Amino acid sequence: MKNDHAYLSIDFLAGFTIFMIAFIWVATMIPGLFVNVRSTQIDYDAVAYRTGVILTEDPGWQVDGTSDWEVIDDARVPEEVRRIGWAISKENPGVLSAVKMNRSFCSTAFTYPESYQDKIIFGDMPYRFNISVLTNGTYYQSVGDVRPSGAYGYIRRVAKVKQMSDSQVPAYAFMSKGISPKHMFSPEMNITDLLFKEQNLAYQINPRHESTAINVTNISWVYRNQSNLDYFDGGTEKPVGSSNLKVHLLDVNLTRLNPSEPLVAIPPFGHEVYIDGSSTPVIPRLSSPVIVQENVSIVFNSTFFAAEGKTTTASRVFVNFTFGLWNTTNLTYDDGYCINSTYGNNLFRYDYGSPWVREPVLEPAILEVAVW
Amino acid sequence: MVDHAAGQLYTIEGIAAALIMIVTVWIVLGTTTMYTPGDTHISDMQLEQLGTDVLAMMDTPNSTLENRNNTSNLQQMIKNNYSAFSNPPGDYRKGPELFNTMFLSYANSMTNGRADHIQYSATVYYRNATTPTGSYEFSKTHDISPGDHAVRVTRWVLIDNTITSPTDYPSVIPAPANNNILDRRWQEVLVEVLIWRG
Repeated sequence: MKNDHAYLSIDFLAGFTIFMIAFIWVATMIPGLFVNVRSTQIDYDAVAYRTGVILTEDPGWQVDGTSDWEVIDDARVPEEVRRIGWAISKENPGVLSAVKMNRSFCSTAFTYPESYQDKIIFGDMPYRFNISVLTNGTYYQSVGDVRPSGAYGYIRRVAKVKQMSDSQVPAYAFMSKGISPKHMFSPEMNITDLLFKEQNLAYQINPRHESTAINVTNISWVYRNQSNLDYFDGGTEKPVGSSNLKVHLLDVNLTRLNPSEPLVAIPPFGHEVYIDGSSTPVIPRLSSPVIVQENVSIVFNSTFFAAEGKTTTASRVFVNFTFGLWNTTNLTYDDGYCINSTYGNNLFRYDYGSPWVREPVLEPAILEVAVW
Repeated sequence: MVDHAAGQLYTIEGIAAALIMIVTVWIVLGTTTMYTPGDTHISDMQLEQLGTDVLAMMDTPNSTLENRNNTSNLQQMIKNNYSAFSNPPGDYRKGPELFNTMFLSYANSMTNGRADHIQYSATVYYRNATTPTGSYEFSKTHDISPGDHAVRVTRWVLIDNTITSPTDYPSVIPAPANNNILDRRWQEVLVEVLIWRG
């Protein structure tokens, strides 16, 4: 008896070969099946949509679990910033923080394109992108490549950007009722009040997270109206005053009062003092008196008050301007009236509802994200 | 001779299997073209998102004062549906006209300074004691025939229709009256906007 176990027949080999050739051919065709689905286009649109949502509805995320990623300094950004979002808070989708926006366009903190791919765009592919935003129809910011002529994923979002708060303090509203050669004017910023009187972050004046400024204006009024302090009682402003009198800014310093602590000085670093609209700040501690014609501005950037050792959420801050009335003829400081917080209870509080304080306003913005 | 052919494949069976696979692929290839209108869905989604954003931002107060008084732009526009009012000061147009200007300004703006071509038709739905539910046409662009891909976006807006004559209005400007269709009370109305490109 012939035993053909374990033999392969020619017939079987031919059939199996035909089957395998067809199988391999079909297998190689399968990826081609999805060409018509345009998976990449759908993917690009989805990534663009996701990026738009992150930017407009998410406040971002940093390594300690909070959303204050904008305060992290340049060197620690790569490690500690996990996600860049522009929203003021999760409760205020569509209301963006100008501080976060400006920070995310900062080229010293974020390298293009890696930082953005890693912290905004996400995904396994190194997507190319263009993010642009136009605030109030005029202020344009963007990052990314020029959009390709072909297809790309796209989303447009409408949002509002919270602007900084500042104050314009006219000298004539805070004139002293007594005479002295030197005068101290001390606007108060009560951080506790500012944070608790308005708890909606979209409208809150928050010196610990956003820039603030105090502008003392109309200083020429001081030397033009030395003998005319009945101005507020119905008198008229004099067009020309004593020509030999100038207002000197002698010092600007900051003090802080925390609950159950004595008054302490805040180190003079990180704020900037501008005189008469000059774009160059004078050093915070003046080495010599500076003549002021019209205005003095002190600008606190968004990270100033939150810096280590400066303030807490329970602090009251006093910004102390010291002015002197300099007689250019006698070269001495003369007695006279000037802007002053002590004589006449002229305490200026940086607070909601003050006629001199401009509260934050929201301005419309258009955001476009393109991904390819 | 005894043949043990059980379990073997023969040539004809191999060919049959190959043909079945190829026909299957051919059929699948033919049907995938049905898949593509994903694009349409995406542009609809983009338009819907834009419309939702525009309504949300028009209903977001611009300042603390507006926030405390419940006077977002959209709230004021719906409340002052017929009589003239002033916002900003000096602008005496009616609510629907202001809605038209602001809606188109937000919806058509692009970051490169060019303008999109969005058209809309807005309707307000409300509930009154006498007419349980009703609606009226609020505002629309001149071109009123929607294109193929019109999308619908809605927003609930809280209206304070109780105040009859605000005291802080100068006498020379006609005082902002209440919405004369809605009941004199606080109420939520539904603003529905049909949006399309055209």
